[in-house]
Amino acid sequence: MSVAWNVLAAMLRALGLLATDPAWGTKGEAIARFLALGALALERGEAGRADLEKLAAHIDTMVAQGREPTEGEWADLRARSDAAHAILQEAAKGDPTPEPESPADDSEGGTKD
Amino acid sequence: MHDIKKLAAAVCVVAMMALSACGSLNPVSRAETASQKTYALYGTFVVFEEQAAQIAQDSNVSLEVKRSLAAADAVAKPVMDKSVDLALTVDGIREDLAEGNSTEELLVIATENLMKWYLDAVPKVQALVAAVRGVRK
Repeated sequence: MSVAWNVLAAMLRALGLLATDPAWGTKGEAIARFLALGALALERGEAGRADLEKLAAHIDTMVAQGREPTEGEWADLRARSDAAHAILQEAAKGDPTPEPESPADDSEGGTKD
Repeated sequence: MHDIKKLAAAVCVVAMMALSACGSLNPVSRAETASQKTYALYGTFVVFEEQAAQIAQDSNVSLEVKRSLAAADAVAKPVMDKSVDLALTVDGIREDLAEGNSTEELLVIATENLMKWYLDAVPKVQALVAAVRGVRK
C-alpha cells in the first residue's frame, strides 16, 4: 500500500517535470505545481496514516498494559512537537531577503544622513 | 493538455481516498484514562504538526498557506503543552497516592483540571488537522 502511494507520487512528480517544458508555457508551470502538490498530498497522506496507525497501536498497548504514559514517552512527543513548531514558525517568516554586502566605505564609518 | 487535467482530477480523487482512510483512525478513541487520552491527542497533534512542517518546507506551497498552518499550530501548541504538564502532574499525584503521600481528593481536582485543558485543546488540534487537510485538497 505504502509503496503504491509513493510510486504514484513519484510518477506525478515526473509528469510535473515534463509539464515544465517551455512548450507548455505558463500553463505548464501551473500544471507542474499542481502535480507537485498532488504528489506531496499522497506522500504526506500516506505518512500521516502510518503515523496515526502506529500511535493507535501504541495506545492499544498502553491500555492493555493498564499503564499511563511514561515521562520518556511524553518527552519524545514534546521534542518532536518543538522541532516541528520551530520549522513552521521559520517557514511562516518567508524567504529572508538577502542582505546586500556591506560596502567597503562602511568600515570607515561614513553615513549618507 | 486535457489528458493532464484528467490525470490531475484523478490525483485529487486518489488523494482524498488516502485522506479519508487517514481520517478513519482515531487514536484518542482507543484511550481510557485522562492521561492516555491526553497522550493520544498530543500524539495526533504532533503527527499533523509534523505534516504541517513538511508542507511548509515545500517550495510549491505559498507563503499564505505556510502562515495559516503556522498560525493554527501557534494556537494549539501552548494549550497542548499545558495539558501535557497537567497530565504529568496527575501521574505524579497518582504515584504519590500509591505511596500514601497524597490524597484522592487532590487526584480528582488535578484530573478535572487536566480534562478542562484537554477539552480546550481538542478544537484547536482539530483546527490544525483541518488546516493540514485543507492544503492537501
